[in-house]
Order: sequence, then C-alpha cells, then structure tokens
Amino acid sequence: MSAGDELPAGALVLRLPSVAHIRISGQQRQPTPEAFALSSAERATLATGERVLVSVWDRARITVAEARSLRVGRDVTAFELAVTDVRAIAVDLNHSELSVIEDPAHAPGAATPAQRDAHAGIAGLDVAPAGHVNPRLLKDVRDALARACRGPVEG
Amino acid sequence: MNLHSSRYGESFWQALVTLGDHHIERDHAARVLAFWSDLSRELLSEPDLSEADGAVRFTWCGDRYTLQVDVHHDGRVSWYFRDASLPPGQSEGENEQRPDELPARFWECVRVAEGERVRR
Repeated sequence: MSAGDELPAGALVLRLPSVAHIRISGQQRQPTPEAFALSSAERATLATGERVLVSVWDRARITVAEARSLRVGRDVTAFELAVTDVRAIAVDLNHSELSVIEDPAHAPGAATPAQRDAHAGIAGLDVAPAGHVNPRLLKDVRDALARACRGPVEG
Repeated sequence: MNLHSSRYGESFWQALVTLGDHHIERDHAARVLAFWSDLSRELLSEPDLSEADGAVRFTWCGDRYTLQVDVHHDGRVSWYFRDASLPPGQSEGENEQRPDELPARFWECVRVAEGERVRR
C-alpha cells in the first residue's frame, strides 16, 4: 500500500473526535456530525486550493493508545469506522469521491515512519461534487458517518 | 469550533451571551441572541453551540434526529434536518432564509429534534 491507495473493504479505521463532538445517550456514546467537519485549520488549507482529507488511522497498523497519544493535549475518544460502511454510504448517497485512502504525509503528531504509514484520510468531505443533485450532500454524509461509528474502543 | 461543553461545566447560556469572546462579531452575536429568543420559546433542551464556516450553529443530535441551525453574520438562517430512520438522502433544509420567513416545517423539525433530547 502507498499514499493515495484506497484502504481495502475489510479495513477498520479509527476516528478520534474531541469530547465536544460526542453525544451521550444513556450509556451510549456516539460522535456527532461535527466530528467529521473540517477544522478551522483544514478550512484554511482548503481555501488555498488544496484538497483536505479528514484524518483517520488504520486500525490494523496502530493501537488506540498510540493514536490517542499523538493528539497531545486533547481529550479525544476513539471510535471505529468500517471502510465497507463508508463505501455503502458513498453508494447510497451517490458520492463516488467518498473513500478512505492512505495519507502518510499528513499524519498529525506522527514521529515515526510506522505512525505515518498508519495514517489515512477520508476523501470527499471537503467539497461537494459540482452539480450534485443533493444540495445537502456533505451534511448527509457527515451524519451517516457519525451514525456508522462504533465505540468507544480501546486497545 | 465548539463554543461550550457542558461536560466541562461550561454553560450553554454563558457561551451564548459571551459569543464575542469567541471571535464572533458584536453585530453577529446580537443577531444570534435575537434569533435564539424566538427559537427558545418552545424549547426544553439545550442544543450544542458551535461555530461553523463563520456561522453560529445550534445542533440537536439524538439517536434518530439531527437538526442543525446556522445563524449567519447577516442574521439569515440555514437549517438541516435528518431522520435517520429514513433512507439516506431524504434530509430537509434550506439555506440563508430570513428568520421571519422560516417555514412551518422548520418549526416542526425543531420540536421533533429537541423533543428527542428532552425524552432522554
């Protein structure tokens, strides 16, 4: 696998939203759609014309504890997201750019090659395809991704 | 950017009345407060409060319903509503409507979404 390759259908990725982007319902915790929105810094990057991937980690290549340790100073919670679910959402919402791809070059906080190689990103959350029939596409995608997450997970 | 977190003891109300401390311009903050005074008349649950693309966003997110209401700098309102029990792509919403032109359906969505939070 190398940068830009799509993760296989059986892969699981970790998303680590901050506590402010988690809703609590009884004993359950679930990310809110905001957990898949671009940060201020990512929006600034997008404004320069560069496409932005939403950061996730390949579950097979990094532990939850290690992924969390890279978010220094942030209170984050780890949730799993199945690549097969992302692909299903892409089909359901007719959004062919929605995919999970290797992204070692933008691994936040990564200090080792192994950590960088574990980093991936969700494409298709930054800009809606021109002319798409659904004017709420990105909001629908964020909501669906948040509801597809499982967790919190540890280990 | 999230503007408050009750999990850290930061009050929604405090965040709402101190929007200016979060780089929200005074005129914008005043419009948000004015809209909230209308919106809150029928509400029993507090939404999450965040900043999104320059707008101040109220979010109610439950097991079934998601409602996001964005108040833009000029006071216009964008809203998004999704019932997760329906097939994907059947969400509702409109962009940049004047508050006094929001449709009855918007107010129905507010009652449904915030009602789910109250029942928790």
